[in-house]
Amino acid sequence: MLATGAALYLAAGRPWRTVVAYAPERSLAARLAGVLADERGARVVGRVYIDATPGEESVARLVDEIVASLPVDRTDLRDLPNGELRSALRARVRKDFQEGAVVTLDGWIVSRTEGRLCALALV
Amino acid sequence: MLVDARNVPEGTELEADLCIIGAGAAGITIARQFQGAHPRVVLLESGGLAYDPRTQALYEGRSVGLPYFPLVASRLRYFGGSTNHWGGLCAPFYAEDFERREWIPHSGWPIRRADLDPYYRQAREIVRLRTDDWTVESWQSDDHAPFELGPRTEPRIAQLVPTVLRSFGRLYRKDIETASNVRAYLNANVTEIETDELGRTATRIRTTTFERNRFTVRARIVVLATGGIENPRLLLASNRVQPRGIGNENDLVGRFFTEHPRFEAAIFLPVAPDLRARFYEQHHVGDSELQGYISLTKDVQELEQLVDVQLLMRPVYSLSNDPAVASPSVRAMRSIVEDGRSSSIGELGRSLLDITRDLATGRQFSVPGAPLPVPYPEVVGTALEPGQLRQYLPDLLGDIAAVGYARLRGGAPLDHVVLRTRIDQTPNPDSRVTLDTVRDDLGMPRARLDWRLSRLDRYSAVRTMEIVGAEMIRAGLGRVRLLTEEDDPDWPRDLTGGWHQMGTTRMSDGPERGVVDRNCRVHGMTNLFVTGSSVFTTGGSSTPTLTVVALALRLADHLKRVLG
Repeated sequence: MLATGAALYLAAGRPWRTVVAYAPERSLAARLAGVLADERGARVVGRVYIDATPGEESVARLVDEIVASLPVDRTDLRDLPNGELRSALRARVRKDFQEGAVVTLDGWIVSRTEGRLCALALV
Repeated sequence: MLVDARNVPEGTELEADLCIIGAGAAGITIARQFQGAHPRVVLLESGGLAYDPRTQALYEGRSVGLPYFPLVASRLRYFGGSTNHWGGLCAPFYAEDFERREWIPHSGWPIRRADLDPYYRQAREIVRLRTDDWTVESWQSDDHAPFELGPRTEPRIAQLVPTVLRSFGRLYRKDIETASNVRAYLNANVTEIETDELGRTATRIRTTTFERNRFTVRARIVVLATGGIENPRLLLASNRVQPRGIGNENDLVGRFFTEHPRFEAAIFLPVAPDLRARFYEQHHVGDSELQGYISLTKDVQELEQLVDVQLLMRPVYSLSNDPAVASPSVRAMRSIVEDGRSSSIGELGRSLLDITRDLATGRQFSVPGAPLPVPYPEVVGTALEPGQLRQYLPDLLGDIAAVGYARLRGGAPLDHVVLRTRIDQTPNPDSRVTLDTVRDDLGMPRARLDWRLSRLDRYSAVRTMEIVGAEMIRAGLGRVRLLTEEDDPDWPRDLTGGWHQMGTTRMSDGPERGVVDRNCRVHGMTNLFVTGSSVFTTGGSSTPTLTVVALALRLADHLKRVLG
């Protein structure tokens, strides 16, 4: 609520779509996708992931899936320092491989979390 | 004593206590076990002491199933048999290879690994390996360590026999020549095993040469040791009394032809080009040469209901045009895994560090003018007789080149690794050797091979690669791309065998499930035995030669008791 209010305040006088672009979910998505070093490469993988997993094309769905898999509350996730966010995602990716939560994209074995992060870089 | 069968008068009837058909690894091993003993031994070998195209052509046959090596090229037909082109890899079968596994049809030997243990120790000496220590921990070093993957996988090793020591014909010719109670007839082609009227006792072995001087052998005990295709061929062709062939009342002779299917299952892209994968190449530890593999543990195989699949690695040390690594996703995959990697040293720095470290430990590189190491110099020296060096020089140079090349390559950046399978093929009764309608120069029906695989073989390969691949990625080693899927309608185009022909006279406790009993005696026969890889109930995932020799030793012990 507070975050939404702040966004609206900041967006005073700006076009409505810009307000949407600064919505909290989009910023969380950007934070998540931002842990990947090569944005261009991530988009390539993200495209293949979305094509292979119908139903996960939306930012909201991708963020929901990633957040649900992490041992961190959504609100806390937004405030997590970058280093800790990166560590949490790395641990989740390792667990994906351990538990078999993987997809194959053009033969490449990719963790679900990796795929979703890449997809976030694209959408 | 070596005798040229072409000099045996037409119509001669030889008498022996033990007649062994085939002078390959198994036949020579059994003959040597009787060297200097009381029983009279006749050893019949189709070829001479060297390769002969006309004799080799007797191995021509037809392959009608999955693509396979030309039958004329996959075996050698002269003294020493297929050890004359043996690759030298040795490892014993694992205990679970002998066990009945409910999810694998027709699995389960009538003997256990423990029954072969004393014979594996002897076999190791016969094939001239230095040690029978097969534990990975004993062979690890900083330079040669397996990847640290999760508990679902396990590393394995095989030992390699040096090229110059692989041919049983070369190594043991003198033993056979000087054994007073052993007569080895060369150029002697067995065309039929005759039996009594009831078809229960082998009475005579019919033999001929290309010059058509025919003779026979009568023996108390007959051992067939001609390999996984030729053993069933001779049994099926010996159908004068039993129309379906000897030992074939239940139509099992020739069935269950088993290989070690290989194909490229995945590409592994390492995070760091200096990733050390040398454990998985042929490498030296001390005086021994080894090859490492990756497999799933027995528990995981059981949980996932898989056959055993060993993964062999082929590191590629230079940039490749292989389409599997040239797709647009490759660069993206590289960049994703590079995220988080320390870049403080850089690639050039790591390479320089490696070279500095290697020079400090005294490892040799191919520096112009520097001598390359000769493997096993003292062993080779004792194996060679004076004057034989020229004959063995090509093999020695091959070994030296392999060592030098491996060390040269060790300093180059690792581009990617190709992972290939070696599958413990599911026993398949429809995969079989039968007789063709075409006959060879001696009038015997040629062999016809119909090699088939099962869904479980492909599923096991894919699933094994998925699990191992996930473990490699989880360990931060790199990325893995599968090259085949479970649902592919066709087998990969690069599917081959391992040059191992097994299972066609399989061992079983009862005649309804196999051809020979636990002592390798043909079911229903009093005095006919079979040995070699054709008696394997399952193929295991290890190479067969060490087990062939171990089984031959065990049979020799049994025959000593039978002959008294």
